[in-house]
Amino acid sequence: MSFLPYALAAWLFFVGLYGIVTSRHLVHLVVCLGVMQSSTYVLLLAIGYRTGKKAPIFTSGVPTKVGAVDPVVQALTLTDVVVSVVASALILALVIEIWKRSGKLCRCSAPPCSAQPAISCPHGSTTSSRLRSRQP
Amino acid sequence: MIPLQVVAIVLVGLGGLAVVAARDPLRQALVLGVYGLTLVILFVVLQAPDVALSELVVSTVAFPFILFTALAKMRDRE
Amino acid sequence: MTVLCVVLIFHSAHGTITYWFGGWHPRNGIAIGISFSVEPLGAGIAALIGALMTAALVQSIDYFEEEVPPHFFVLMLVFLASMIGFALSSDLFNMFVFFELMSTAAFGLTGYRIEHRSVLQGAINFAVVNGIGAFLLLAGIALLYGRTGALNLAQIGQVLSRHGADGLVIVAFGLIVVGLLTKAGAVPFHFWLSDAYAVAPAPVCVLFAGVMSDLGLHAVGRVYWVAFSGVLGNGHADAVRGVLIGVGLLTALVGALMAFVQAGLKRMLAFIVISHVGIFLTAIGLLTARGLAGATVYVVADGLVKGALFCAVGHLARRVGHTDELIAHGRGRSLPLTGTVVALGALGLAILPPFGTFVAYSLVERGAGGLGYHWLPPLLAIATAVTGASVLRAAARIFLGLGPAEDDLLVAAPRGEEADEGMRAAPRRGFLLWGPAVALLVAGLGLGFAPGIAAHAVQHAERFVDRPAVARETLHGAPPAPLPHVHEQIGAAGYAYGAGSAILAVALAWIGLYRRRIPEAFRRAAGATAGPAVQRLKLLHDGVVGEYVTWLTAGAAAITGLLALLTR
Repeated sequence: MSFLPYALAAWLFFVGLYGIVTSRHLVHLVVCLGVMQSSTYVLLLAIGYRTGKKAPIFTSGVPTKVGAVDPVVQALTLTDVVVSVVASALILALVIEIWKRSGKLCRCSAPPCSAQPAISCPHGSTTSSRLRSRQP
Repeated sequence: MIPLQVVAIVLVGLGGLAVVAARDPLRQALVLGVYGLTLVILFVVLQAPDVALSELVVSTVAFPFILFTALAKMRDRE
Repeated sequence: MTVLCVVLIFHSAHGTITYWFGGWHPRNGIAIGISFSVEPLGAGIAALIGALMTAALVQSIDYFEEEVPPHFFVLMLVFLASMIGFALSSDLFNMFVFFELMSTAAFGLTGYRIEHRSVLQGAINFAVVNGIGAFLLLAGIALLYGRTGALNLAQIGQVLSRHGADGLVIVAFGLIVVGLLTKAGAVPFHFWLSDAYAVAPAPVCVLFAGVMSDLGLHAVGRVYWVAFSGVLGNGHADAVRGVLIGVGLLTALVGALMAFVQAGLKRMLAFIVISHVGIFLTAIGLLTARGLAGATVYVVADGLVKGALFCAVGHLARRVGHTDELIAHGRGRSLPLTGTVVALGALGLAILPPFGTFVAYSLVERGAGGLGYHWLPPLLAIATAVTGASVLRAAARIFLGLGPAEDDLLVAAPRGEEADEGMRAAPRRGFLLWGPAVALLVAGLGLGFAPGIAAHAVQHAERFVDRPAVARETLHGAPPAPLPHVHEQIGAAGYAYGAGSAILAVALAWIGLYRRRIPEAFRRAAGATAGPAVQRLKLLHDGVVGEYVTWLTAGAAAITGLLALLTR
């Protein structure tokens, strides 16, 4: 039990990383970032967890005998959860803007579409095409 | 108690893999909601109910909602 | 705000000011509350933030064509608050929160002018890479909390110093350093930086280049000295020193080389930022009080100079409409003042005595000499010379019209990056455009003439690196240790390096302009040896975000692995 949550945190981190590295769609990338971030929640909670202890809610003396798990990490995780959703929402807003611009670009003329990295687009061609466009 | 935690951990692990493996954004948003639910279960069995509540709101309701809105906007422009 | 921060410097000179939010003072040396600790070095950085923010806000009034919307100012002020919070906070998790807030405000500002895709691409690269850096930082903080049960830096230091350095502590240190270096833009975490800085509006770049990168480094110094020096300081110091100096040197040289082959001024300045981040990292990595003092003075002086350069570039963009040195060739002749600012700034970058940057460099030079690293100062001087040379060359092309208007060595910036396409070159001759540049330049160069600044910085750094005393002061309210007596004298070697770097910068700038006058055979030989490597390096910086993330992971694994290996 003791090492499983840590293994899970590492697993989520690397799965998210794999998703980001191989991502072909910016929305997919943002979601993978979310998966990666959830690894930090698991890590934090795993650090604060004590076997057999109860949740840190102290109502009229219920868990005082057994003791509670560390409440500090839970506060940290809460902050983390909120921060993550804000950051993801902001990146998504940028993604929508990209989509708007590139949508326009694609409609007006054919070639500029090749100058788009990492987003799937009607004309295909996703891989590092900015390389080509930058060559003099 | 402990078997429950193991089950939750395995579920979250599989859920994370499923989210990353779903390449279509629309399907991925749905899988993400389910994944968020598994995380909520894990947090509950790790004795963190308040984190579980906020995660419930954020990752099974708010974040998929934002995603769907974003995808809908993109679909409009297509 | 600036005035407040300057007042803070002088106030905290007598002893660290610690403020506990909500009155949660530590009891028996155990901190529960969250605190700000203000010591002169951190307050100096905060003052720099304030000064640059003032300049940026003044310039942004005239920089944008349309009326500036209120949300721009709101974002700028949030950015200001989070940077100052990050510089002064003495609580690790608080640092993480400010780190995230800073990043969020910053990538909002990067993508502020949505004129072209490359702007958005830059903002997204910035957001994703920094996000992952933040996760690594948070993972490090979590592991450290698991070990020490504390989040206050001083208390972590106290708990850690009672135990030995085991694998967990090393890994936590590695993760935190990697997270902070991602923000700072050290090689190989720097790819996002050149993309983001090149596309952000010039007034925003003033802040990015002037302080945001350097804040990450300042935090590395603080985390090491306050939290880890007790456990890593004896026995493992050489390992940490080796890793930090290695990364720093690599960053300094790669950044300088990449800066030299850029044609776009903004992208060039972005690589100069990277190069100088490497120099500061090397200075901090010396792990001596003098190195830390040198790095701090260098950050302030260099930050002011880089801010002045970006202000000048903003003025140029506004008046000429383009900042690519090949396209804007000779078109800056009508702006002699801006040209002078750029040229003087370039010499400041190339540590010409007796400017502020030179004083800082000489501190670093003596710090390295004190450790017996006599090979280090020349390498750093080469990096400063190359960065100065690239700006000088661009200044000569744009403001004097020297040299040919085409050069196949240089990388042209992608379309829409250097010139804002929606922005026509309006003949606005506002004082608000060039005034901030002049003011920042005067402040940055004039810092060298402040009496005894080097000695003061070393004194306070000496006090700062005395970890047990700092911890007693923070946690138990003990009186501060008396200031040690320090006498700083710039040696002949320092002047030699400074002058040598400036001369080398001028020479390299000339070579950059008139390569064709060099004998053919020599040129071909140089091209054959360096050409493919430079070409490969250029290609590396054109990747997509996935590649950047791969590099980030590889770098994180390498740094943590090296630390673990060396401290065995």
